[in-house]
Amino acid sequence: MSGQPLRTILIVGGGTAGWMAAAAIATVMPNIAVELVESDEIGIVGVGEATIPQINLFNASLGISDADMLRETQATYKLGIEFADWLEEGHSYLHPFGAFGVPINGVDFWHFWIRTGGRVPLHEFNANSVAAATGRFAKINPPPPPNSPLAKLFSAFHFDASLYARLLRRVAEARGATRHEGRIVEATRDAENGMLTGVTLADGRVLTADLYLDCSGFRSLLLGETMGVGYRDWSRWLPCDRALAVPTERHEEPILYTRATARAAGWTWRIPLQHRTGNGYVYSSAHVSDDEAAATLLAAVDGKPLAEPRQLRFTAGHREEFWHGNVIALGLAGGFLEPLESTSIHLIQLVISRLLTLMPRSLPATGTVAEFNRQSVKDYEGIRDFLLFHYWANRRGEPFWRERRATLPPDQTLADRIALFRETGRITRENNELFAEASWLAVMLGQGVEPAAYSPLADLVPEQELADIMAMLRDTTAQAVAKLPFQAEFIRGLTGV
Amino acid sequence: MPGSAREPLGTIAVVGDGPTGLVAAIALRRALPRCAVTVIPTPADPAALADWTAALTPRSNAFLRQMGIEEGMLAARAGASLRLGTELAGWTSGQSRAVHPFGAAPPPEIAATSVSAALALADRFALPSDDPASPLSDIDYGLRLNPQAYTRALGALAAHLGVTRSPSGFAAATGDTSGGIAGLRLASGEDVTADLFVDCSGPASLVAQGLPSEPHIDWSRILPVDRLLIPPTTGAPKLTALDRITATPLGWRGEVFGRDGTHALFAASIEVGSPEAWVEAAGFAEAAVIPLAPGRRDRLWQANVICLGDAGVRFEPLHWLNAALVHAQVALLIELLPGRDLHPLERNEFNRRAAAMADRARDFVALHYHAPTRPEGAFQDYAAGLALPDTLRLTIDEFTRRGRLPFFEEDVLPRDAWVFAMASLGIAPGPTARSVTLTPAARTALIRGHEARAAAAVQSALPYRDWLAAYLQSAR
Repeated sequence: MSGQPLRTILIVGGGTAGWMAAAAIATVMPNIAVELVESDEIGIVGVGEATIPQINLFNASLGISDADMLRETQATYKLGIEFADWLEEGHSYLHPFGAFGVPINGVDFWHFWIRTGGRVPLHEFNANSVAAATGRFAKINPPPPPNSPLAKLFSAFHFDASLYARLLRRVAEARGATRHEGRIVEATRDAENGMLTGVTLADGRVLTADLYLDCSGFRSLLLGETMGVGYRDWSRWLPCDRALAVPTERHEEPILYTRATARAAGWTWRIPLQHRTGNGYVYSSAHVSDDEAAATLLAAVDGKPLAEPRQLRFTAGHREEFWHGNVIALGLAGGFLEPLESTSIHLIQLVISRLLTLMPRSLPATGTVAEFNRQSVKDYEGIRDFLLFHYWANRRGEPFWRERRATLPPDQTLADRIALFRETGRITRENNELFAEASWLAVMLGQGVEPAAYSPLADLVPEQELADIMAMLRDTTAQAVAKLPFQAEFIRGLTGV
Repeated sequence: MPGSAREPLGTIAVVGDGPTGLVAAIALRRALPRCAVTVIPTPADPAALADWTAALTPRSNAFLRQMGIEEGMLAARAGASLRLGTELAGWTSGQSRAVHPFGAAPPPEIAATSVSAALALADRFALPSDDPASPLSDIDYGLRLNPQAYTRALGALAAHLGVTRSPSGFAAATGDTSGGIAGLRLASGEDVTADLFVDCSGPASLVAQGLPSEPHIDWSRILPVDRLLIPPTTGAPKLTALDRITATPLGWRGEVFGRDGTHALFAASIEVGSPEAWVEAAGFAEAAVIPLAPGRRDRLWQANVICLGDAGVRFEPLHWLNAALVHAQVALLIELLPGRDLHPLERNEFNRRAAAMADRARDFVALHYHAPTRPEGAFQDYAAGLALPDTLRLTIDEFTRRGRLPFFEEDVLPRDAWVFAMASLGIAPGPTARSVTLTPAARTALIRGHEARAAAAVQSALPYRDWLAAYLQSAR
């Protein structure tokens, strides 16, 4: 094999993306030298404070325990997302992690639930929903047997992103990653082969590496500005282009879910942490002024603001390539999808795990790069469709929301998915895509899409037998959750505080 | 929630009375006990490979059990015996021999013999254990069957379940105005209509012939075999847990060592050799030469016709995957079983996933022609010059560079089967994060641990012959 062997990686930009990458590569590939350059002058955006359960895999691979998370990042547990006023004012539903019920005779549970006319709310068959509603939670060790309702209790974290970055920095540095302090003034390319040759810092130092990870945030300093990779703009489908973020005082025990509340020109988030509550308003500047947005946000928060609202600007979409030459973008440098389904941290994690599995031994690696980009685009498109669905299925009256009802993605996939569910009760999942059947089920039902039918096989279970099975599933879920401690007790037990 | 019952399928006509048609009929009848399922006989076609497969893979065990086709019944009535895998002879050099077992592969960081292979090489057998601590939890087995007896046993079970068998055979299919099939004409002159037609008639695809023409995807530039030689009689039985596939300069010979006899066949290409030369290379006294056109229909379910087995997908029986693929596709059909209103989006989903299954089976077979070293032979040279599908190229590339097997949806082969195939073909895994960081001491410990596990399994297992005798005793 020819080419330049890959021995050194330079990560440009600290923050969550940069330090996640540094810690992971330093852990898994000790034979590669990892350096990171960041400037204390440049702030961290830190939009992603809510996560999905895959974060546990990432932490486990780095040896970060729950106790570490709870002690060092002000973390709380998260069992799902509540969507309030999203379908219409006054309506709300939970999108929980984890499955609903269990398959009966190989047929997915929800077909039976549709058959019974949905008399018992579906969430009573989901351990996450029941736990979220009661505030009870624990991670049981050793894991419960697979037939226990608690075996399907899946959790993620809410955390303070800057504290998480700090924790990861410690892990990365302990495993040999080197940090350089400095502001980049220039990045240079080889005139012949177009590869990035190095970055120059304000103090004149030049840093070079075999592979560069662009974690510079929205600016996309290496991939966008220097390599000239264009941006695929999705604002036609996802028009929200600004966010205001403000932390507030905590005034109640942290709840076990993120809340996303629909507003006149977007939606607000509420993320409960141990020490405070994170809030923000994601909105479309074409539909509301910044002042109005700030007023809406400040009127919506349920605690005393701890700072002035801080504004972020973005364009939904992604770079046409995530990897070009010897530069790979992570996080906001690669693209942006509003954190409605808490995917920001996960999108970083996906790039890291993809890089670790596809890591070439030398560069250039044309085939690897093409595959990397193909998979990365798929990730973005899959999440985009899921987000678009939330917007499309609404009954709200504001102009922003009426426009959303007319907006489906450029290809047919989502329209087919909705039609198939509506007409047959079936949900498809293509190629291991991120959001599984249960997620689509929760959100499709939550957004008022109702199936007209169910699998013909669901009629084969006699009525009384089905009633007994459903009662048993509901009762065992409720009983198992009732034995769990409240979240605060569980956190105290783990942290000893 | 206004969800209402969909009117279930009321009538299904299964065309083809070989194992493919009978398994489909049994599965459909079990799923829809009130549906009238009729099997319509078609002339036995030796080119219907899924019907003549004498060997299955472990994946079929659970499927058959689910369909109520019990292993004990197959042992008592269909000549079943159990196999631990396949020996590949002459695939990487003239003298090479490698075992491709079923079950779990050893840790990827060490090159070691798997527990199943150790058992097979010691000519011993035991049933898998469901206790993960037991080394026997690493093994798995597939079934061998006598095709004729298997067909009779399935026919009896189908009749018992209330599947109707038409006394008169298939004569013709008539199209309707909406691109589907309106009905079938039987040899007796009687007409048959149904909500759904399942075409299991082999490569002739007799029902699908009545549909508007459908593009076929041609695999002849990917898979070399387009001729099969099948001797008129089976060879002497041989009691062993391993079957065998032998590469020769003119094609490959497959031998399934059933307790009823050895089911042999020879696979060749029209591009290399002649019928006389093939018979000689196969070591057969005489054999019928059967043409095979590798490929599949673009859509396996078109309008109201679903094509299963060779009616939909045709490929050389290397590792005998043809019936295994049928079982996977029948399971998919049951999962996506429509109502009387055949929904186009359900059909699309079936076609997407069924095609993914077929393409992956094709890739698995094609892999065998792309070993890093190959024996001298015109057939091998021809096969190696064929096209490598992108999906297979990616698989080989990822495996050799990073020891990783990329995920493919609906892969009919488990991950371990790919690992074993790579190993038996001399394709070494590239370094993984774990293998790079493994210290020599840790590697030695891992190997020792694994060897001890395999040795314990061999110790606890019976000689294959004794085990089989006891098994058959209990099946009776």
